[in-house]
This record gives sequence, C-alpha cells and structure tokens, in this order.
Amino acid sequence: MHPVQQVLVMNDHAKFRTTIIAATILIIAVLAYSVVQDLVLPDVEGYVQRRSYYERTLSQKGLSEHKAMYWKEKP
Amino acid sequence: MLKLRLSISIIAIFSLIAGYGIQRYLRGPQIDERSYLKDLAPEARFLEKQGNPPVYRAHDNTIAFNTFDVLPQVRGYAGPIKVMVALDRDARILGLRIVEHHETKNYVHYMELPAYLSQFIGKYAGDAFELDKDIDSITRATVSVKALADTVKGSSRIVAANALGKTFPALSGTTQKEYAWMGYSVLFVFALSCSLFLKRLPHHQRLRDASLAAGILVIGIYLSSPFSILHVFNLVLLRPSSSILWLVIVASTLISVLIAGRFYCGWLCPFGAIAEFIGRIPARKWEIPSSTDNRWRNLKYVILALAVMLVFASHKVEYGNYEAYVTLFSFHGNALAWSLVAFSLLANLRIKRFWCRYLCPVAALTGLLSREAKGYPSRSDCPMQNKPHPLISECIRCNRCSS
Amino acid sequence: MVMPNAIQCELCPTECLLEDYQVGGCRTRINKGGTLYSLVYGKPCAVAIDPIEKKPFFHFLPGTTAFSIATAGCVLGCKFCQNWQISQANPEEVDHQDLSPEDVVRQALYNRCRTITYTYTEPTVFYEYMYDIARIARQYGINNTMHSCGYIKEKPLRELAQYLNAADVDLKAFTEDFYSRICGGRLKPVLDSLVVLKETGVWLEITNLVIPTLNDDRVQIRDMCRWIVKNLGPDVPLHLSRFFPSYKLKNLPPTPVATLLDARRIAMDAGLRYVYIGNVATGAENTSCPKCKQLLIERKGFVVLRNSIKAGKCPSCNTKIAGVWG
Repeated sequence: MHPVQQVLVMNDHAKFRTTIIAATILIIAVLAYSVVQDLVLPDVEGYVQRRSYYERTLSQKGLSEHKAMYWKEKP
Repeated sequence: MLKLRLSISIIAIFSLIAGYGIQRYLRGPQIDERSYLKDLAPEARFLEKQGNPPVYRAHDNTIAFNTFDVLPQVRGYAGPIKVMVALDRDARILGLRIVEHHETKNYVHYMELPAYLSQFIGKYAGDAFELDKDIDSITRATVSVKALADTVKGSSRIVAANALGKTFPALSGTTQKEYAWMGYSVLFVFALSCSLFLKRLPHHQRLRDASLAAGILVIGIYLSSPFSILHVFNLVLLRPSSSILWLVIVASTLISVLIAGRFYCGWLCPFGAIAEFIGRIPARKWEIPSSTDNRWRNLKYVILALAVMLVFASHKVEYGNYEAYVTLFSFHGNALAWSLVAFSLLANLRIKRFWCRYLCPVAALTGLLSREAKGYPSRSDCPMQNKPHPLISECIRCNRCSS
Repeated sequence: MVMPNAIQCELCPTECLLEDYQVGGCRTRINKGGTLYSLVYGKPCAVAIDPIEKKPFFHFLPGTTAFSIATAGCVLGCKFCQNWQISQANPEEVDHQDLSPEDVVRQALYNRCRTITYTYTEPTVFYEYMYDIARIARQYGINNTMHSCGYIKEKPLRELAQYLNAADVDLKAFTEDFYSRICGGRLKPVLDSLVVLKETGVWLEITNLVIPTLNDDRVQIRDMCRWIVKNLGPDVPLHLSRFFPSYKLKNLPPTPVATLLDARRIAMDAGLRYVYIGNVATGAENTSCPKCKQLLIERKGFVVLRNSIKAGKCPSCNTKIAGVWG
C-alpha cells in the first residue's frame, strides 16, 4: 500500500474507534440518566428548592433560629 | 456464540431473580390486591392481572387496576399514592381504595376513608378531577389530595383508552387506530414475499428499497411503533399490552427472527432504512479492518446485557430505554437521547448501518435466538459490510448474495 | 431515596418528617443540617393586653388583665379559623417584633397584668418561647395561661404544665370526621391533652365553636358534654361560641342564637355546671351558683359588672365554686 494510503487507513481506524467509543459512552449516559432522573433528581431538586428559599427569603426576614425541643434524628 | 448466549442468559436470569428480590425488599409484603377487588366491585369475578398496562378484567368488562402499575410517576408529598380503582365498562369509577402511601398520616388519614373517597365514585375517567371544583380538598393536605386526584384521573384515562378502548378529549398520547394491525400485517406479508422472491431473483433490490421506504412511512411515522427491545422486556416481565397491534408486531417479529434471522432489519426496520439510505449518500466510507469490525460487533451484546441487568433488577422497562428509534419515532426524549439519535444517524455517512452493526439490542437478541443459516456468502456491496459467510446475527437478508 | 439529615419533629401529633431545610406543617420549625430550629422564638406578631374574660377565662382571676402574645403559625388548618391571617401565614410573611422572654415578663409587670396568655394563633408552635417566658413569669409571680387547640403530644404538654396555671382548650367537635376534614387533624390527641391537663392540676376551661351543619348535631353535642363530665368533671366551664363566616367557610350562615341556647340546655342536662355562650348577648355570660342559682358574677361582654364570690364560695349557700379566684 502507498504510504499515504497507509496513513489514511490508520486514521480511519482511529476515527472509527473514537466514533464507536463515543457512541458507547452516549448510550451509557442515556441509561444512567434515566436511572438517576428517577431515583436521585427528585430529591436533589427538592433540596435545592428548599435551600434556595431559605437562603434567599427565610434567612433575610430577621426570624429566629432558636434550637427547638422535642425532635429526634431519623435513621 | 454459545459462550455468548450462555453468559447473557445467565446475566438475564440472575438479574430477574435479583430483581424480584429487590422489589420484594423495597416494597415490603405484597399488597393483596385481590382482597380490595371484592370491596370495589363485589359482583364481579376478576381474572388474573395482565396486559399493558396491567389490569384485572372481569367477564362483564369491569376493569380494576392499581394506579401505580399505570401511572407510577405521580408523586404526593412523600412518594406515590397507590390506589386500587375499579371502572365499569363505560369508564365510570365504581370504587376505589388507597392501598399504600407515605403521606404524613395525620394530615391525610381522612383521605383513606370511604367517606372521602366516595366522591370519586360515579365520575367518568374523562372528568376534570379538579380540587375544590368537582373534588373536595382536605385542609392541610392539598399536595396529597391533588396527587390522589391526578393519580386516579391519569391512570383511569390510560386504562380506559387501553383496556376499554375509550378515549376522552384532551388525552395526550396516541389516538386509537383500530385497524392499524391489519395495515401492519399486510406490510409484513408483502415484505416477506418480496424477500422470498428476491432469493430467486436477487437483482430486484429496488423492491427491498420500496419495502424499507414503506417501513419508514408506515411503521416509523404513521404507527410510531418500531420493534424494540422494550417489547421483549415487557414480555419477559409479563406485561404484554392488550393492543392488537402490539401483539402482531411482537409475534411477527419474534417468529421471523426464529425462522429468517434479521429479516426485519433488512426489510422493515424504519431506523435501519434511514441508516441505509443515509449511508448511500456519496460520502467516503471509512475503511475498517476486518478484525476491528468483528470485535466491535460484539459491543451490542454487552450493551444489551447492561440494559437487561438494569431493567430486570428494577422492574422498570424505562431504565432500558436507549434505542434511538424509540426516541425518534415517538418524538420524545431528553437532550442526551436526541444526541444519540443524531449521532447514530450522522455516523452512517462514514460507517454503513452504524447502529445496526454495533449497537442494536434487537440485533443482539436475534443473534442469540436464531439458527445458523447457509447460503449467504456476502459481497463487497453488502449493506452491512459483512465478511464472507457472516454470522446469523449480522446478515439482514437483502438476499443479493444468495445463491 | 432519602437524603441525609432527615429528622422527625415530636412536638405535635402530626410528627412531621423533615428533610434538610424543610419547614414543618406548622410553618414555624425548620430542619437545618439535621437540627431542628424554631423560626419564631422571640418574634411575636401579636402582642396586646386584654381582659382575661376574652381568652375566654371566666373562672380564673376575673376582672384582671392578661398580657396576650402570639407568633404566626398553627398546627392545624381549620377552615373556619377566625385568626387565619396570622395562624395560616408563614412567619416570614407577617410583621413581627423582637421581644425576648425577659422583655415579655417585664412588659407584663409594667402593665400590671397578673397573667400572661399564650393565645390568638396556636401556642404549641412557639413552644420554646412560651416555655421560657413561663419559667421567668413564674419566678415573678405572674400566672401563665394558654388558649390552645390541644394538638400537642403528651411529653411536651406535661413539661409545660409545670408552669401553666390555666388552659382554655378548643374542643372543636366530637367526631374524627370533623377534625380530619375541616381541621386537618385528629380528635383523639385533643381528648388526651385534656385529660393530661386535668391530671396535672392546670385549671381547665373548654371552648366549642358551634358551626351550623358541621358540628351542631344535638346528639354529638350531648355525647361531647357527657364525655367532659365523665373524664374531666362537671366543674369544667364550657364556652359555646357563635360562628361567623370566615376564611374557607364563608358559605355557611352564622349560628342561630336558638341553636346556641339549645346547645347550652343540652350541656347542662348532661351535667355541666357552668355553660356560657360567648359573643352574643343572652344573659348566659353570667355565673350563677349551681346549687342555689344565686347570680354570682354579672358580665356584659368581657366586662365584669359585679362579682360577689367570697373566698371561692357562694355567699348565700356556701357552695364551693370551682375556679381560681384570688
């Protein structure tokens, strides 16, 4: 094979490998996302909403932050 | 091939068992749904739960179901509210009971009582179910009550549409095409006949192009139901749909797989068709060494195994939803899913039938299920760029090389 | 899946499970990083001096004034709430002042109030504040009284009761259905609280708002009064109140006076000795001797016109009149 052709063939091989690995990663990402979306995101979203409401609004209103009585940790 | 079949079967079975175990552990003791059925519709005698969505059907067409089986995504204050609902054949609610919820008990225990739930009885699946309009709210429990109303409303509509054939206005999703299965069957038979015809006279490849085009239009665009591994997942999880079209698609494809390998891929699959047509655009195709090509063709089995594990362990078919054609023809997916569609279609400019050769789970399934076939020596213009005498899992039966 | 730092509040029977940065159903308590905090400690939104008859207390230091205080929030959500603008509001949405427990007692002393009353909204939600004020008030000889719906768990109630002199509890109805559907709570914890208060020697008076069609059933009223007589004794004063359309029950009519008079009749037949009708002029705001029927305390609205009780007894027949008179 002509050296130039040889180089072209190698590049094709490399390009192919890159493409197929990229596709695999994409598929894994799709799969992972649907799991995460179901199990993790709702809780994270809820936390972010509550936290931002607290930081933006609640904590700015001069309310108290006095330790409360009568509660327990949830395992 | 044997090693592959064995390892994937082991993974599948193991995942199935693990899945049942996990589900059992997470959900706690099985809700005895049947004990609720008696309360909901005392006169009816219900058969076993089946279908997609899974419902109990009685002889007089009374339907009962667990809303969580139908619409699991609705959330109350603390997770889903699971309700057993019974509909008569006109999609009117006969009765309902809440079987599981994790709402703050003290705010919503009234919601569980027949006195409160009785307001749902007599409503049609198509009713508004709006709080403080046709549904009484419970003070301090607005989130829970709305979730209850949405759960009952949404799942009743879905069940009414799928199990009773009744659709209501403003119902999202596919409208009923009652004779779709006939159109599909005709197309299938046409394609099959053509392929057999082509075995004798291989140079009439234009017939195959016509069949592929029909596949794109009918299966892809009009019916929006390409065969996918999700069908198989639902089958294995014992959740077949009650729609005839679904049955025809699954039966015809699986049988054709057993008898004629990847016939569906070469003659009907709308995504494969688009891939092949894009591949014919005159752009230089990358030269891929045979060894590399062969090695990477196994990738589809690995991905299938991964999806199988996810789906069987979680019992959620949604977790195995990655196929580009499902996204494309249902026109529904997130940014990642659409990127995959774009990527796998564009790749066809450089690599013929990219998805079909390396990624497709249906192809992997075919590889696992079908027998060796003789008489396909392959040619340089093979649409799948197969090596001579390819594996059964790689030949899409265009029949141009059949002797 | 639950994120870390979840806690469970144990103040009232709702027992909210709170995630990180989640505010409880009462709107006044928040979980921050796994610790529970009160948002309203020292931040009252209502401070006033009222005659103690308004709380309503008819058998506790009549004619004196009560330093009344409340923060925003409530454990229930009664659809007929007369104070809903502050009870059903978030503390961050309502104006408040800064008043430390010491300052509260100081002001009560300065205004010569013999009582501090925790009222208007629901004292349970500002439990820590109330508790600290009550301890200091006790040191200075000021009485502590509360007007509560009784929706509080036993342990905190018992601990508070050490410093409580009197309590007026709303017994809103006698069915779980009413408490669920109209209030968002349960009846049983209220009944339990009533018994605990009685046990701990706190002077008890009960208020019942009579709402047409919802809790005016004669049998229900009778059963309720019988329960009070049996579990708390016939000496517990009962205040029947007239309902006026409010908040989420604007479609119901005000209670007919005849209904109230009838309810009073039923209550007295059940054995209750002191049954009053509030917010309507009927003559049933006066206290008479249960034995000889002598008029003992004459009231017009919240004003005591005449009080002839001597050393806690009827001057005519010497019957002991239940209450705290000195």
